[in-house]
Amino acid sequence: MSYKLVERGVLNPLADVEVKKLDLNPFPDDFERAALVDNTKPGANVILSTLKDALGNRLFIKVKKPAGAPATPEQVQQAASAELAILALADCGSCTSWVVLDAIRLEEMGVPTICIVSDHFTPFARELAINHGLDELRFLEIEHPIAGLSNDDVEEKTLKIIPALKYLLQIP
Amino acid sequence: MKHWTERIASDLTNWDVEEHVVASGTSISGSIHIGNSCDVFIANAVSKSLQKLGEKSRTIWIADDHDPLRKVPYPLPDSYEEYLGVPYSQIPCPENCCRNFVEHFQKPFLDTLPVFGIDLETYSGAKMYQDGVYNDYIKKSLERAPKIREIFNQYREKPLGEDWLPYNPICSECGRVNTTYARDFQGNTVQYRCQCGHEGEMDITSGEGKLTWRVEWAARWKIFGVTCEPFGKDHAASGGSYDVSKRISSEIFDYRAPYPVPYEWITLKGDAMSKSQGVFFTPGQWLEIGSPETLNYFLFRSKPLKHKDFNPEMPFLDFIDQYDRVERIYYGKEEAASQKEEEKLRKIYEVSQINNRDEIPFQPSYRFLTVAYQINPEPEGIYNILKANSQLPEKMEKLSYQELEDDTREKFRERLNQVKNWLGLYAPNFVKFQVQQELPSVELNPAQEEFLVELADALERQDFTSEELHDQMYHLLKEQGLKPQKAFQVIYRIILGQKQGPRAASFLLSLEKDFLIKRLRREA
Amino acid sequence: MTNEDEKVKITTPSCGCLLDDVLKNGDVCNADSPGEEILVHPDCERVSHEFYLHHLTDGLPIIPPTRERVSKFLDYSPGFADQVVSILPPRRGKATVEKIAINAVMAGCLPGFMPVVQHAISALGREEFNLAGINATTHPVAICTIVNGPLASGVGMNSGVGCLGPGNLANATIGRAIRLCMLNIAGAVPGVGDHATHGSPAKYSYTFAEDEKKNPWESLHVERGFDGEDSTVTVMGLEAPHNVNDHRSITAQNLLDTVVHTTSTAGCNNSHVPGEILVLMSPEHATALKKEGWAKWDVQEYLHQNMRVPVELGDRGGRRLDRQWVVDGEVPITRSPEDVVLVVAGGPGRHTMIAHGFGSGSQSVTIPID
Repeated sequence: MSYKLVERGVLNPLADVEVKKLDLNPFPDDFERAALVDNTKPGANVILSTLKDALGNRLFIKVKKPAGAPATPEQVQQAASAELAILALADCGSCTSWVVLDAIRLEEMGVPTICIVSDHFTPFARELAINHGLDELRFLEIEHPIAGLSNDDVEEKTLKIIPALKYLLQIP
Repeated sequence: MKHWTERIASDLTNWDVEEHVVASGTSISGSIHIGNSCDVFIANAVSKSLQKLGEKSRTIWIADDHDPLRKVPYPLPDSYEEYLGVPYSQIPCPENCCRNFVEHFQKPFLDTLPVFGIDLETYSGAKMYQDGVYNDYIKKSLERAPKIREIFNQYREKPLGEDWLPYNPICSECGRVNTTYARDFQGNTVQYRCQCGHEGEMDITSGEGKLTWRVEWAARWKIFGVTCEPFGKDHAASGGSYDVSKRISSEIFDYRAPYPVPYEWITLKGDAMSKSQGVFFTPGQWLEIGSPETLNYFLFRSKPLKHKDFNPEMPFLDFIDQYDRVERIYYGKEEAASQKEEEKLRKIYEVSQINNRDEIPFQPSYRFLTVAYQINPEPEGIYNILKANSQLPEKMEKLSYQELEDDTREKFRERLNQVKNWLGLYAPNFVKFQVQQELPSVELNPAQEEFLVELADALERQDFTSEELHDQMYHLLKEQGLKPQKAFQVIYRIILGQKQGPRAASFLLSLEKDFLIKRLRREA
Repeated sequence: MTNEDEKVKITTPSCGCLLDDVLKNGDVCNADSPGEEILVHPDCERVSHEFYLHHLTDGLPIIPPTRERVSKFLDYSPGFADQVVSILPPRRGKATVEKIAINAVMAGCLPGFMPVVQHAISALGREEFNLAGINATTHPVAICTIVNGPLASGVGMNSGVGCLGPGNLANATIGRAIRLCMLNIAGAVPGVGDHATHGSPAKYSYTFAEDEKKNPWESLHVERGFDGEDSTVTVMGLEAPHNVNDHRSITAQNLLDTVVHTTSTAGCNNSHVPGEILVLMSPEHATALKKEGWAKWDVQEYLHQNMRVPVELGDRGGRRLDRQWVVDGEVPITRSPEDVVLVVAGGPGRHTMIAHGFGSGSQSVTIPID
């Protein structure tokens, strides 16, 4: 009689992912009101202010939200009262998480969004967006780093992404 | 919400200027088509929007008639190749009808503009050089050539020669302006050599040579105080003409570059428009088949960077239908799909109009007219066909053609003329037909014969609407055991002498009743 | 992941062949049945390495999670194997009872530890904890798990000398299991979903039990509204602990001032987004304070009022500090006395450990273990 030793199988510690699929909201042809959502990270306010100047005569709703934590319901409502929202700045792990997750919350409420993401964190931001069912969430990449730079330097980096912003928003 | 032309105007109100100057420019290298006349239409719309906002604004147009000929435009003969490299302003008119090449192509274009409500101040690039308008700028550019070179080189793979100057004299030997290389200057005199072998000198104030394009463009901005300019998207590429001219404007001429409005090309049936290959469609050609508002609508219904394709054949009918629908929505005669859509369409319509109107104009279906016209080309006859087919608006249903107001009749005749031209120039064969005045000889089987007779009887007995006639025809052909397609073919064969034709019921109602009944009975 | 390549002939009493005979003479008995399978546990070293290569470990060897081992853990859980306990960000992985058990086996837990691990995972899924922020941040915040109630000693946890490690199986493996769940279920893999710039030793394991016997005050879970006899697990987002060495203070206030001085630093998140901190007092420190008549609340109040950082240190002008926190040119480390999470554990010695938190972005969560 012959015997063979067979190793017991091992189970997979990786979990299944909870998937939901969401639809991205298209940008309106023209908009009067835009929300500028600032997560108070260094440079975020300079970025948003520079982008605002490039967008011409419109009504801008300024919203502040926490960096590493979700926006409060009031802050989300405020942002959702605009026709589109630009969120800045995703340049670290937790703030990227919450820029993306808050953008998704706004998209779920029908508000089209653009997230300003440091190019070092774009892959993570994209993964996060995919995991949350919005593969095509719109990001504008800005050159890392932003923290620690002077306002002028941040402005210079922001000017480089303005053509892409205008393209996304179809301006003119 | 604002239309994009209004949005540009709104942004421009932030500029601290006494008067806005919206510039457009066209290279007179051949027929000016709807693709390269976009500048003019956009500039005019922006200027008008600025005026509505209470700003002072004027629209200017500069003919790039001093540029060298690069390709022989259609339909000029190959012999014109002798003029390659020569400024357009110095090339003769190909048909001896105009002063020169420039006027030959420019005149038909400029002549149509008033129809579009476009009011321009026109300038000739060549004349500007001759009148010395550029002189100071040429001088400054020569003096600051090293800096200009430096700026240019930042956007070039191969750097320019150390002695390169931003100026192209016209060769006194061969007459070409794109083959010369200016390498030195003293005062107003520039030394150059030409590819033809000639070496010479030129006085920059003579107006014969020209500044290199990107410098010239920047100079123009300051000369006219331009605050906004639309241009083809090839100039908008990163590191392209606009970027370079913007720097030249700021660093050499100390002037703020205008608000740019790049626009995408228009293709014709999917092909890029090409003057040399004869692929183009001019505003004049448009007016033959459509009202000027419809061209405005075509250009303004989407954003400037959205690609537009134009097809004057069958798709043109869909296009006019779309325009008419937007017009109905504007006047509240039809509902849009949503409030957002309504807002958007109203804006587009408004911006496309040349004159304001209180009421919706008479808009008989263009598509329907293409059929009606072929049955009876007379306006009154067509009007009656419309009436018989319930194609008239309610308030006109009881009116005869003679009872219509003058401007309604005028508008009607205009559209009829457009339809006639469309049929003659762009309609594919399958939409064309001719009512045979003589009875064509056709072999019919008994069922088919019976069907026609029954149909004639029915028509004699009563009047039908087109839905009712349609139902009746189906009923009769079923009675005879005929397939619908076969039954209709029979009708077309005995009336048109061919197997296909327009929609049967409304077609029959469009014909003169007596004639139709006799024909169905095969009496005449 | 079975390996069928290894086949070894062994002796079996039933047919009378001795291994020696087989090896010497090549005699094999004539039994007909082909290879009867004998299941053996997989080789630890090999499986560990394979798992490591697949990025499924924390870098240390793991116990291969066979079905048999995992089943034993499932016996200790009230739920079904595929019941979802939490959805864990950033990957939004479904932390089912089975997946938690697999990772707990890998960590080296004993089956009895399963309730603690499972409840910790449940608590981490609560919104106020903000696991999405905690897992993804560049800040080295780890997950500290504090166990209260009878279950702590029931599973053999250490609340005395060396309670923060090393040496205790329960402390070490429960904390480790939680981290493996973060890696494998939540997707918090360094560089991928976990962006902590340097990582942290506290991310290997950071679990202990409170010493309720030696605690002169009410324990953490009682303070939070539970019964003394309830067992609870508290999860907190914390940096690795920093020691407060105070053998010299004679008065309570002096001792607390040493704590204040050690916590009031510019380099913590609390200095610009005030939030919770952990104050883990040794029994000796706690007793000294109690002796002078300080109640737990007095200690928390004192620390909260005095732990401050000058604004110029907390806010260098880059990230704008929320003005609501600034009082007289200073920023508090905590928002309120409740933010001082005061716990007693450890052996002899006059030391207190403090650990800063993630700041206002995360709130600790205490849930009962049922």
